[in-house]
Amino acid sequence: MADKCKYKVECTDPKEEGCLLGLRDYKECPYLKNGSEQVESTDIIVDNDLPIYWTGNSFGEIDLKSLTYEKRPYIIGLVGSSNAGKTTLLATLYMLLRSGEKFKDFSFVGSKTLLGWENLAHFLTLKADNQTQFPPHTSRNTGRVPGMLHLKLKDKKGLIHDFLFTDAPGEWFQTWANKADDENAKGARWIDENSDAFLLFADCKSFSTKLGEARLELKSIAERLRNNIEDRNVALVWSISDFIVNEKVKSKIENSICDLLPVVSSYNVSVKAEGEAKLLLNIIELFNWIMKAVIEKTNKEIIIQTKHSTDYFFAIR
Amino acid sequence: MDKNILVIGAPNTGKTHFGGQLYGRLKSNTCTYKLRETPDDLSVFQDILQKLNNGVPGDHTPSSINKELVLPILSKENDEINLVYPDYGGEQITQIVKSRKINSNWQNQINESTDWILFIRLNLVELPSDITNRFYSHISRTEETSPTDLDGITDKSQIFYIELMQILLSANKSQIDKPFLQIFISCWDELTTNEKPEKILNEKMPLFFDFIKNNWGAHYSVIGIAATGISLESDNPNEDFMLDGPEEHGFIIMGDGKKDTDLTLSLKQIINND
Repeated sequence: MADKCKYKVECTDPKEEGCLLGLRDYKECPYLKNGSEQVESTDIIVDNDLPIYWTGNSFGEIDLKSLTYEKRPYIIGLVGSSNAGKTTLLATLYMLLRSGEKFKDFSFVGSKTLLGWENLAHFLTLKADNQTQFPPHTSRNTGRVPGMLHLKLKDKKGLIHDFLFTDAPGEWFQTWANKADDENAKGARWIDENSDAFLLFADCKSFSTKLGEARLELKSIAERLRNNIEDRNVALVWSISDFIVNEKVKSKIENSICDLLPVVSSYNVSVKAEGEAKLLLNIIELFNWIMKAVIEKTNKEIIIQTKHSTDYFFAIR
Repeated sequence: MDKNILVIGAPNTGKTHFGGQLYGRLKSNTCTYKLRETPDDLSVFQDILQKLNNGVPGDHTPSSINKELVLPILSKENDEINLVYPDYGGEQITQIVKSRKINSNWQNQINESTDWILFIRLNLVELPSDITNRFYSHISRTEETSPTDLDGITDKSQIFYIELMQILLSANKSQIDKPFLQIFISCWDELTTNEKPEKILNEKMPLFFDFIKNNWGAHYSVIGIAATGISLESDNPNEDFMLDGPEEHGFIIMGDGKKDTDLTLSLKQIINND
């Protein structure tokens, strides 16, 4: 039986589902009880304080419930190999918003994962010694559900939407591309099944230094994604585009991806845009585009057909 | 009318100084709002009033203090307003964000409040320097570093204020879905600006400002407050304060940017919103 917490009676399996107290590592829980021990009634801690139901850290499966009670959130899956820049892109999006950049079609209402966003930005924020660093490699063994970052946004019509962005290690997708039902690919499967749209990452650095390998990796992930894609939007993201990739190569890759997936837009982004703010602002545009596309797709107008009939049988109902 | 104010302010944001100066103006009978009678219990502001009259700043309010002043106010139109203004140690606010819990005292205050006042000392809030506002050619990768040295969200950050307000809103089980929010940009004299309060708030805390507009709609107001008008030093008593009295010092900056020495006007939006 799993180790669990005697503070939260709802805690059943923190290793798989995450800590209800919000600890990054459930083993640090001061109330952790060994699976085989009985939880006595005297162990249960009575507390009159009102706990806040979200931790501020990135969402796991268990946190999703708090959003789905209100309204179904939109999930955007970020898909790509390791070091393709998925986490960096998310971190940069957040820092752009934090410093006052705005989406064209949305405005900020809130977030239940502010601490999670700050954790990402922490590494790309200037420290006293003027050094910045990329966020550390997203750890692989974090359960079956990816960490997700949350934004609550209001659109131009005044409607409020919840968006979740997946932040998963690249190895998940590489394993999944190779073997769909691999035990270590369950997180990638979850993203594949549950996302409303995808950002597929083509890493310019890899494409410019090891073209063959990069092409194969991207294609194999795209081929796996193809199986369940249906009509879900995909944006192709040429990340780390401070590394230059031959236009012909790019074009060829894009065509081959478009053959597999309904790729509707492609963007060049980079976070090292010295003197070229455009590549940074492309990030805002990219997310604006995919979020708008997802809303439009799921909110198709209901057309009620009115039939006009001359048959008097239908005149009186 | 009865007004229960929820005062929200991290440490060193000027809650106590403002409270003391507000009281001084109310009893002076020269301002827009005045006292109908002297409150029974003035112990809340006893210390600050003494310090200000001696030309020095007040002591840091201990974190465990929880007091309130009941102010029976009269408007120029002879409306009677009973305003309950609390004072407490600002660490209680930082503790709410850190511990992610609201104790029963705060739960009661939130549920019984009719209006909220949020103190923000903008001069202490920083926009972090990161790759979006500074471009750096040297970015290195590290495998070993984990976020264990993260400071968490401190009250120097607009993110702290967003999370704080989200927490307070979620704990609000009162009849009022969104109480009127009066934002005081405190210690305004530190800012050396001629901008309107909303503009400067948007400049320094852009994400927080969007958050406020989207959650409160038009049901909020932003004004600048310089309760003492100038910085006071403990080891160097201010002669003007001792000579004129603290009632002659301090000002507010209204929403339209106009300066006024009538500190009681800071309550105007709250009193008019009913």
